[in-house]
Amino acid sequence: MLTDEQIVRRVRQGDLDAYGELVERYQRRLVAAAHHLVGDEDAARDVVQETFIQAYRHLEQLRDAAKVGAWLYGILRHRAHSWLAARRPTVSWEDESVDEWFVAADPAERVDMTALLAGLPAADRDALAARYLMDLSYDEVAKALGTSPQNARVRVCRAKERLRNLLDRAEKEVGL
Amino acid sequence: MRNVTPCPNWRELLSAYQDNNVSPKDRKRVAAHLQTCGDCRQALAQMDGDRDRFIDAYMAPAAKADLRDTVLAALRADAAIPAEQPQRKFPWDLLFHLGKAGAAVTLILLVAVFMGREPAGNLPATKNPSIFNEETDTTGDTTILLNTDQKLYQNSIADSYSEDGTVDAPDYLSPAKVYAARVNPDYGMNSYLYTVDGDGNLVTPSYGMIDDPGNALTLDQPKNRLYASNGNNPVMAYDALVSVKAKGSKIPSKPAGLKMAYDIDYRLQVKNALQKSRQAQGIITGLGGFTMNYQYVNNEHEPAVAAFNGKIPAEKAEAALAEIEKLGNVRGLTIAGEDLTGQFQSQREEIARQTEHAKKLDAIGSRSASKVAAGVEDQRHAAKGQVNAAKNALTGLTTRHELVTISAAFYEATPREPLTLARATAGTRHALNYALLLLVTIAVFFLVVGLVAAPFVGLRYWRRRRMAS
Repeated sequence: MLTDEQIVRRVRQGDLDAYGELVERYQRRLVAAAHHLVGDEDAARDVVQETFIQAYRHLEQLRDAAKVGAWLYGILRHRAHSWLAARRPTVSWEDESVDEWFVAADPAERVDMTALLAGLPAADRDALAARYLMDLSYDEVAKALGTSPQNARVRVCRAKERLRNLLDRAEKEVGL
Repeated sequence: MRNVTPCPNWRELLSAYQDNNVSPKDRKRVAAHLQTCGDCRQALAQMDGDRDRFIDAYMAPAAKADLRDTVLAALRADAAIPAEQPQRKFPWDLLFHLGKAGAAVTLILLVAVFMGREPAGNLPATKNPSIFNEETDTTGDTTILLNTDQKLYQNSIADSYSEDGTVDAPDYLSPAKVYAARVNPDYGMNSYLYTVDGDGNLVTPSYGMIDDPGNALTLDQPKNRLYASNGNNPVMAYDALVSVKAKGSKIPSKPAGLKMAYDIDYRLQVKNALQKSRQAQGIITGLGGFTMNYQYVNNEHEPAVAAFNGKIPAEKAEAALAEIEKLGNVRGLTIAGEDLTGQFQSQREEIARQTEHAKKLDAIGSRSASKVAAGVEDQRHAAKGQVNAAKNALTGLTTRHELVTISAAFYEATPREPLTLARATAGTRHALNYALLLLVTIAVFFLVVGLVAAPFVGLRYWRRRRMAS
């Protein structure tokens, strides 16, 4: 299997199929992250598609090909935030209520996780998406979020705690 | 499941441990702590559970994502259609803002210039200095300042004159030998009348104006007597021969048999009066003469003047004039001659008379002592004193005869700046003016650019607003 550096080198030499391989490698993580960031599955695909197209056009700006995942996530964040900014009037996270989480008879399945997690602050969503979904190291998270590795470690820790508190609250609400 | 809180000091480290982002040393520490701390073990387990639920919530739907073909198709279509090159837009906005800045700076500078401008009429006058005017010195000798552009023309003046010195009848002098010189009125001078001899040398000054036909001067050349007349009445008469010459003319040859003394007076216009005056004094001393006195006047707002008086051997006078004339623009030259023949003769007669008188008194004094008591001895001493005085006067006449008195005044045409400090201030003011002019030019340039850019900027804003609406 080709490494990220090899793929990027081929793409830069004009091999578009190699870019397809890069898309395949990262599309799921990016869609998951986009879904978490924008809260809409269909929109997440559009955002990721735009991310890949934009990344291809600006591939010459990628300095460290080994960290292409972090680079792609950085582009994705900007695209996601742009999408949210354009759709802000119609999206309201605060309108979600615990009652809407009841969708199934099984308590464990009653929780709509994506709607629940949308209640996290944006900074925490960024950190969790980078760490859990993109599986980035703290250095890469820091690079993608534009902060220091130490701060990235703190933000990830804090996001995890908020995630725990959110889930704990939801579990108590639905009687898990 | 109960929400378990990890030990406060281990929160971050536990999180990093879960993410496998700790150093080997910390990994061992956390592992050791987990063996002894049940809460942290449970908290770590909860974190693992949360992570799995989180990942499942998003990765499960994403697993079916297949964007490869879509992305590649989009990129191929993008490549098939020549990518729209980002057009380099002309920076109208930038020019517009520069223009606004230019307008502001222009306004400020114009206000500054208006507030700081010098009041009109405060500049020193730069008209021609009055060195061309006729002047009379303290000795009563008339100094004629001839302009080099003077016009000489024949004037058939034949005024009343008689041989015995009375003015009673015209037509004594040949009209061909009497001329009038009129100073160029462009220099703002009065049209004075001068009589000139047949060689073109101006020989007499006149206080009468050409426009006043009653005033004219006549000259008795054989007697070197000059008469001025006002109609039929004599106004004045000069015993001395007065000769005024223009640049390049020569000292008049001494009339045969006369002991002539000449006084030469130069007026030159130069750029540096003091420097030229010193050069002229060097010429005098270099030709065997000497300087008696000199002065330098440098008043504010007036042309500087440097002048000196000296003596030079008569035979070197012509050479001295030629050298001095090279130092500047000759604006005037007066050569005044005086016949000393009579004075020589009278002094010699005085010496002879007093010598003879003293000899007679000597004889009286030697015969009778009583005569001495009567004051004869005093008369004898007085007579000898008269002899010595006459001899000294004769020596003085000889000196005047053999040494030409030469004086020269050097004028600067441009008034001096008042003070060195003021000159420096003026220089600084000029430099600031140039800097201000440069700033105004730059500001006006940006103003023009801004005016050009304004319609384009407005058009863009209008389009944006229309698109937004």
